[in-house]
Amino acid sequence: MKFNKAYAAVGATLALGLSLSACGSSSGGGGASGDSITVAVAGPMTGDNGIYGQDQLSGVKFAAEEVNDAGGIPSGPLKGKKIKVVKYDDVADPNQGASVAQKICDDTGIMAVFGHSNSSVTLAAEPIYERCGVPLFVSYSSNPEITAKRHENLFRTLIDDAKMGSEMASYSHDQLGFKKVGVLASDDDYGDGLKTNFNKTADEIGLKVAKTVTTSAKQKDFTPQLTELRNAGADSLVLLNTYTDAALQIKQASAMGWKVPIFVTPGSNSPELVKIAGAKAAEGVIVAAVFDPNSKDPGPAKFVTDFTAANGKAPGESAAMSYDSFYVFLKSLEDGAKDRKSVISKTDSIGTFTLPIRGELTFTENHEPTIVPGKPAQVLLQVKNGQIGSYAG
Amino acid sequence: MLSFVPRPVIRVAAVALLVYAFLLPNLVQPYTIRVAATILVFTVFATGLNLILGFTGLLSFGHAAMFGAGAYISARLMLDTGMPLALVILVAVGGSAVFGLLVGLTSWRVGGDYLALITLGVGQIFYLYLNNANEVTGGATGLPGIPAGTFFGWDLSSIENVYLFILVATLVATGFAWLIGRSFLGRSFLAIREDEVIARAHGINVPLTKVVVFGIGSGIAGLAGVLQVLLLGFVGPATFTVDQSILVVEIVLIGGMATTFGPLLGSVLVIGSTEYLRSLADYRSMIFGALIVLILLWKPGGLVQILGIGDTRAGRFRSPFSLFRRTGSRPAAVEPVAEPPAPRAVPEEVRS
Repeated sequence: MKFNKAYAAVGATLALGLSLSACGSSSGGGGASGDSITVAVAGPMTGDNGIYGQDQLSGVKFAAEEVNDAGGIPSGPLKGKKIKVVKYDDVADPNQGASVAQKICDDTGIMAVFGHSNSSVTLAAEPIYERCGVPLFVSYSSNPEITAKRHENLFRTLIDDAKMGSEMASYSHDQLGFKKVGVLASDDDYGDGLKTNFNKTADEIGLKVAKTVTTSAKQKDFTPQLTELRNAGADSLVLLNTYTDAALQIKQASAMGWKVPIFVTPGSNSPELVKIAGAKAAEGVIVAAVFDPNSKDPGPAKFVTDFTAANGKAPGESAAMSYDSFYVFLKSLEDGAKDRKSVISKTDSIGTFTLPIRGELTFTENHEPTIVPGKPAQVLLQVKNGQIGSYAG
Repeated sequence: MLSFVPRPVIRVAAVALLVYAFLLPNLVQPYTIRVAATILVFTVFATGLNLILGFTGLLSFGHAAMFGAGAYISARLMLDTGMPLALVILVAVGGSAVFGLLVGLTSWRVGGDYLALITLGVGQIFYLYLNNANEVTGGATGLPGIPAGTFFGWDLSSIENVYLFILVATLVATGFAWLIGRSFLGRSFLAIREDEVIARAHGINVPLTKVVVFGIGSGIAGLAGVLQVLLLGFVGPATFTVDQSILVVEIVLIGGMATTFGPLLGSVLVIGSTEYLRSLADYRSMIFGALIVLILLWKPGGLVQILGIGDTRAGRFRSPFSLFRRTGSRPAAVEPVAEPPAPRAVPEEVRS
C-alpha cells in the first residue's frame, strides 16, 4: 500500500472537519441547574446482579424524596435546593464500572456517587473517582481491600467482610450454640472474604467446622453441595452469600428433608429471601443483619413504614444502608459543603454522624465505620411466619 | 455496501480516521476516550482470536484465559517488581504465548468440536484458578491498586496517554496480524481451515502450524491483557470468565473472520453497543445471536464484507515468515520425458 502526500493531506483535512463537528456536539453534560443538585447511584441495574443496584437506588431515591418533600435541603449554602437522583448501570462488570465512573466524573453536574455494589467493580472504579475528586459513598461493597488504604474521597458506611465473617462465627458459637457447622460460600469476593474470616474465627474460638464448600456463580441446583455437607455430619448450616443463592439453598435443603438450623448473612437480609425460598422452607432461618426492620427505635421504624408505603414492598438491607449513606452526604451539605471538593472535606472533618437507621457512626482514618468494642455491628433476626422478625433464642 | 465508493475515497477516509483517532484525546470528554480505549483493547484481544478462529478455523472458547494470563502476569510484575513497562509487556506476551502453545498442543490429537470443548475447559479451569489462588491472584477480590506504568519516560497515568499507548499497540498488533495474514504462514492457516488433507498434501506441517497459531494468537491476547491492566489499574477474575471468551468469539464472527479490520469493526459494534445502548442490555445477546446467524449464513466476511472494505488481493509480502515455508526442497523441475517411465517395483509384502 502506498499513500502519497495528497491522500495524507486530504485525510488530515477531513479529520479536522470531523473534529470540529465533534467539538460542537460534545458540550452539554448536565451542569448544576438553578434549583436542584444531582447525585448518582451506580451499580448493576440489569442482569444477574440487577436487584442489588435497584435496591440501593430505591434507598437513595426514597431519601431524596423525603428531603424534597420537606422543602429541599434544610440548611447550609444550598438551602432549599431539591435533589435529583440519576442511575448508572455497571452490569457488575469492572470494565463497565470504570467507564461509568468516567462518565460520572465528566458530568460536573453530579455532586456525589452512591455505589457500587460488587466489590470488584468498586475497586476498579475508585481510582477514577479519586482522580477527579468525586465523593463516593459505599454502602454495600464490603471487601476489606476497599478501605485497606485511605482514599480521600471514599466513605464506606458498611462494616467489612472481615468483621462480618468473624462476628458470624462468634454468634454461631455463643448465641446459636452450633456444634459442627457446614459452611456454604459463594465463589465471589463477598463469599470468599466471609469464608476466610468465618473459618479463622471459628478456629480461634473452638467452633468445629464440618466442611466448607464453595459454590460457583450462576449455579442454581445446590443439592450436591448440601448433600456433601449433610454427609460430613453438619448439625447446622451457615450460608455465606447473598439472598439469590441463599434462598435457593434454603429451599433445596428443605426439599431434601434436611431439617437443620440455617444462618445467613446481612446480604440475605431482604424480604426477597423468604419470597424466593417460600415461607415454609424459610421458617426459623436465622439472619445476621446490620439493619433490623423490626426495630422499635423511631428512626428505623419510621423508615420501614414510610418506605413500604412509598414502594409497595419492605426495604432490604442494601436499601437501608444506602438510605443511611445519603444522610451522611446530606449532613455534609447542611454543614456548609457546596461542591464535590467540599463534600469530601466536610464529611472527613465532621467524622461522627447521627444516622436515621444506624444511629451513631464514626469514620476511622480510612473512612470506614469505627468498631465499638463490645457492641456487635450485627444483630440476629429470625424468619417467623414468613416475616423476618426479631430473634427469640 | 460501500463498494460503490471509489478506493481513493476509502483510503482518504481511512487516513482521516487514523488522524482523528490520534487527535481524539484533545477533542472529546474522558468518558469517550475510555470507551474508545476499551474498544481498542478488545480489538487486540479479538485480533489474537481472529488468527486462531478466523484464519485457521480452530474454535477456541477459552481465549479469555490467554487475555487473563497476560493481564495477571503484568499486574503481578507491576506490583512486585519495578520492571520497566517494555519488559513487562515482553514477559506477559511471552508468558501467554507459551500458555497458548501448551493449549495448542492438544490440537495435535483432537480437532473440531473436541478442541472447542478442551479450550472451554481450559478457560473454566483458569477462571477457577484465578478465583482460588489467593496468594498469586488475589482470589475473588483480584489485585487492586496497580501503579500506572511509564513507557520509556512516557507517563501513562492519565487516561489520554493510556489511550494513545493502546492506540499505538493496537496498530502494531493489527499490522502484525496483517503481515501474518499475507505471509506463507497466513496462507497455510487458511489452507488448514479450508481442508486439512489438501493442506497436508501441499507440504504444510499441519499439526505444527496449528500449535504455532495458538501461540501467536495467545501472545496477542496477552498483549490485550496488559493493555487492560494499564487502562483499569485493577484485575479481577470477573473480567476473565467464559462469558468473555464467548464475547470475543462474537466480535470475531460479527466483524469478519480472517479480515484485518474485522476485529476493530466487531469491537466497535459489540463493545460500543454495551456502552451506548445500556437500556438494551438484557436483549443484547439475543440481537447479537441473531446477527451471528445471519452473518454465518449469508455474509461470512462479517461487517468487513457487508461494508465492502475488505482487501482480498493475494499478498506479496512474505519475507518475515519465510521460516515456515514448506519444508524440504523446492519441487523438482520437471524433466522432459523421453520415454515412458519403467513400471514401479511392487513392494515386497504385497507380492507375497
